[in-house]
Amino acid sequence: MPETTIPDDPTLLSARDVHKTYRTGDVEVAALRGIDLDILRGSFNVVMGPSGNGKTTLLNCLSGLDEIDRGHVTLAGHDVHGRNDRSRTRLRAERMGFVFQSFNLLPVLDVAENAELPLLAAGVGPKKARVRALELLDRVGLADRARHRPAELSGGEQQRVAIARALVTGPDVVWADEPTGNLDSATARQVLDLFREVNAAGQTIVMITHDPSVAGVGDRRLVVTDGRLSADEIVGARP
Amino acid sequence: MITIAAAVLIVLLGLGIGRTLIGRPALARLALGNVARRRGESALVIGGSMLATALITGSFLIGESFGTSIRSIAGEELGPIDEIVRVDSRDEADVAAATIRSSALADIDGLLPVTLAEVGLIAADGTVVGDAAIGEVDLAAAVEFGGRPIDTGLAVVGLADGAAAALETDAIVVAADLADELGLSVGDVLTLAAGDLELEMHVVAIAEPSGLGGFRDAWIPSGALTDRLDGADAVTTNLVLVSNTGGVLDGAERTGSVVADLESSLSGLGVDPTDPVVDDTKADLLRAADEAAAENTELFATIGGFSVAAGILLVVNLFVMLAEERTVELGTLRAIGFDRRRVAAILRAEGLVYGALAAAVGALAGIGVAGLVIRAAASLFDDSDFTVRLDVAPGALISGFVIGLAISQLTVTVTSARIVRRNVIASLRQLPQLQRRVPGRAATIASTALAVAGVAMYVLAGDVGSLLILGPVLAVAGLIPLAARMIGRNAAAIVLGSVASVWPPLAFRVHETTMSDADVDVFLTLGLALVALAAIVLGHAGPIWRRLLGRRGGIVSRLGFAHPLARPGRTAMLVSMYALIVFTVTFMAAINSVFAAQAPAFARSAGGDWSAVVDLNPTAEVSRSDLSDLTGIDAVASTTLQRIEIGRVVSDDEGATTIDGDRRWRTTAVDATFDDRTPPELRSFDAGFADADAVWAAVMAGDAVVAPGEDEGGWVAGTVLRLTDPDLDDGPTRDVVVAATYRFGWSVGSGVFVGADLVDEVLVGDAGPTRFYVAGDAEALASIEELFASAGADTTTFAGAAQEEISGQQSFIRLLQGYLGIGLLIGIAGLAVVLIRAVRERRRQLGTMRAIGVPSALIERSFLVEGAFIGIQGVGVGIGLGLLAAWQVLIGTSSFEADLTWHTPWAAIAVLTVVAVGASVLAAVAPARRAGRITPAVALRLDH
Repeated sequence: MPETTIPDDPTLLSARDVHKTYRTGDVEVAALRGIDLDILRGSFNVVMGPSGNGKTTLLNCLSGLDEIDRGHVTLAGHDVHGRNDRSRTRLRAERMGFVFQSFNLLPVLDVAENAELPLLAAGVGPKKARVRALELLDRVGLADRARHRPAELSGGEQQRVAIARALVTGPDVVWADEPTGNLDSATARQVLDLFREVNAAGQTIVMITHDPSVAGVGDRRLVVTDGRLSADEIVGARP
Repeated sequence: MITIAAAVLIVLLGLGIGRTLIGRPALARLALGNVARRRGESALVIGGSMLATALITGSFLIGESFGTSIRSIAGEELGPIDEIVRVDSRDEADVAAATIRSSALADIDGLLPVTLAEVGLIAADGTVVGDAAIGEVDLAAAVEFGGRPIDTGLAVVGLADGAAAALETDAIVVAADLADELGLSVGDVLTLAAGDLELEMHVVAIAEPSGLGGFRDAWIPSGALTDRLDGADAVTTNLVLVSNTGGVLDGAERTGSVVADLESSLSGLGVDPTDPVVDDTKADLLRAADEAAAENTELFATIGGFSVAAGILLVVNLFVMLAEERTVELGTLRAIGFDRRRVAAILRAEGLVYGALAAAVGALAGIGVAGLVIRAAASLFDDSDFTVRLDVAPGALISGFVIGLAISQLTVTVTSARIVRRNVIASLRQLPQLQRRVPGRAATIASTALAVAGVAMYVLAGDVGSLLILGPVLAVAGLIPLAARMIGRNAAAIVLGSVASVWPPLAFRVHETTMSDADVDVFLTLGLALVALAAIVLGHAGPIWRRLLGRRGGIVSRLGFAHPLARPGRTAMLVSMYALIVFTVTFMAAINSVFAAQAPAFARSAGGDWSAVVDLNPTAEVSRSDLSDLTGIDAVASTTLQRIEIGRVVSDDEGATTIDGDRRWRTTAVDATFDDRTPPELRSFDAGFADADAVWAAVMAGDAVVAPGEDEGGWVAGTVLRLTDPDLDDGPTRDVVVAATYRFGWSVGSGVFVGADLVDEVLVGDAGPTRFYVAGDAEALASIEELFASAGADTTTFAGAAQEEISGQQSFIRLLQGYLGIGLLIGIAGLAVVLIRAVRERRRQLGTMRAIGVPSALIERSFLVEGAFIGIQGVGVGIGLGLLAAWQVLIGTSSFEADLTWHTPWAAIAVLTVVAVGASVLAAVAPARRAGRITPAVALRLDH
């Protein structure tokens, strides 16, 4: 099926009948059991649910980090799973940003190098990548820490670098998996404010959390229970 | 001794583990569970750890094999012969044998008088062996010599069962090797040529190539030659062969008492008036075998020391990585109340299992290592009678196992003690270990004490070359922590590390005399010190590298450089593994290259403008004019070869003289004909002689001698020597000065040049056999052996001798290089193992990179760049330091030879670079593929 981009379509991501089962020996665990979901452009989606009910699996499957057993996922008209690994990796590099609970910065690179990494992966020249990375670091308030190693930063600062890295390619969507899970409440609040700020600028965000206090930061709340979407509600006005 | 010390160490270290684990099965399972759970990983650790043991075991086996091979000569060339009594005539031999028999000496079960000669043997088809060594003997007695005919090699058809007693005087028993060479079998007829005499002989038996069959090429009945040859006593040697009770080897254990009994029995027997000389031939050979075994074990163990050092670094790397993977586990144990000692014991128990398995596998792999070296060594002796065979001695395997295990256990113990000192929280949260900006007080005090110890080591070193090198290195390097507190860690390490690395090569210049006797351990110290210092400098040069490389290139090169630069300690160890081997191979390549270029100078030094020497068997009658009349021969000098007892005359303050180090020396007696061409090039002169002409004039006049230099076992110019007849206790003596020295005096066996008249004056008996120095074209020289084949003509050109000597030396160095090549495998395997484990260590980072869109191909390439980066650093450091050290040692000093000219071994460097860097990239291929195949979701799931 030919892929086309439809900029005017308000639906950025569409998932239909997505199933995922993990198999370990004779044991099978159905992690996702028929997920149907649309993510709108510019929305801030918060995915909640108890531990082990499939939140992270949902993120992995929607973003193409993991394979799915059945179903169909499109991002801006691009079929996420109907392509080989190389093409899917390119799709992630060009259209997605990721923020993880443990920050996952590369300890051997400094802050600026971490931030520019997705651009280099996408084939952008080193000088241009560095300029763009510094812009993003400035935006998250860490331009003066560009030459520092991640280990020299606080948790909150590391997560802000991770956010800069996620935004540096100007992605269609930012996936954030428990981005405040390793932070104290004050730092978590600063990070959430940053997410809200970038969302206000039009960035689509899908954030996973098990913390109810975080739920209010988005404009839509999705609840995953036993691999199914058990709730989907609008909690705030669209920007 | 080392094996016992290693065994004691293992027991001591094992006690600590046992105390913690015995009676605590849960802890034991915790320690040992990982070994069985991750079999692939365990195999990698064992595979990497066993390499050092393989090389240690290999060096033991190589030494044993050389010893056993030399000992086997005792059976092949001596058989029942334990001692040899040298007498002056056949009559004296018979008298000596009768005297010994009448003395009824204990421990002797055989006496055999023999007469030896060199003759020409010509087969019916015209094939000639001009210098066949034959013996005259009572063949019936020879078969029974020593009471075990099988040991004589003569228990064969034609001699056994009493057949020997009935042989005619035209019978000849030919040893198997000569029979092969001449294509002889029983019943064939051949001609024996000695001087003008030609005898037709009939082959009655082919002797086994052992015992008397290995001692001489052929045997003939008593009197078969000497009764018909005029002046036979002048061209023959007479001996009484003595066999001790016991077997071929254990009989030699009685040699000490037998020699004393023989000397006592034969005292005063000499007829002219020399006493017979008793040689402990077999015991001497067995001593030489033991010495060769020890020397080869030491040589290969020391040269292999570079590889073993690389192997130790690999073991350290492996266990550091292993422990880092267990940080959460170890942190948890510490958190729930286990003290450091018990946590370390758990780690060490795991290490003991890996170490024991690796040592066992390594000991067996050592057989393969030794087999390869022995096979290569055997080809070096193709042209000689010596055959070297692999001897898998159980003792060598046990020693290799024990020492290998001790090394791994010591390494694991030190590594574990360091790892368990980590902060508990940092371990639980897997936080990276940040290096302190300046060293702690304890480290500073300890290393400063090391610096002081280095100074003391240098002051007290005396003439111990290794300590002279090591002392100043420790003195400077030990100051690094102190300096780091003032100028920063990196600056201190780079500056002081660089300063210290100037010393090891310079030590060869400063302590030139001491270093001229430098043994291979000094070379090992030189290499280890230089590479260690390079590792210190490289390990702290990260900021410089980052400045040079960090901003350049794309994502591949950045990632490829980033990991090695971020782990300077680990990188320095990996680089050192390569550098240690490359350093040694480069150093040896430089030696080969420099010496290969010396062939023309070598030939000039040994022979001057003479082209060759021609030796003939003593029974031959060939005159100087026979050679000079040949077309293409320009000049011929007639000399004689003989042994003269020479010692250094030492005078004390009161004018009394003593003789130092006197022994029999090979001498060449020269007359005025020797001056027809420029004689051998002289090296250093006594002050009393203005030039070479003055020196040779003094030699011809009998006032001086020319001798090999001190570095070739001779003397310095100006030394006064005393010359005496070696067979006389109170014969004439002459004191002469060494007017000058020359080089390569042993290449054609000329030894000390002495005037012919002086030899006549000193030696009571006749001068030795004739040797002609010949100048002429190559074709004419080549024809001499053919024309005078029956006279045993043996032509040795100086150019050929030079080439042969250099080739032999080069072959042996290449053998050592090949042995070290096995060490290069350690570097390659080590890099592969470390990178494979790095994939596991970095899986979260790799998952993240894959998640954010870094293609797997780029990740794979970044691993290849990482491998190449490490390989290039190792090769660069190794080649750079190897050339620097070789230049300093070969050219900057006279430690090896004076007047050498430098030749950079470009070809060897190119091959080494391509092989080592290529191999390091290849070593990264498998880890790169593994890294590229990481599934991001799986890698990141491990994060939760």
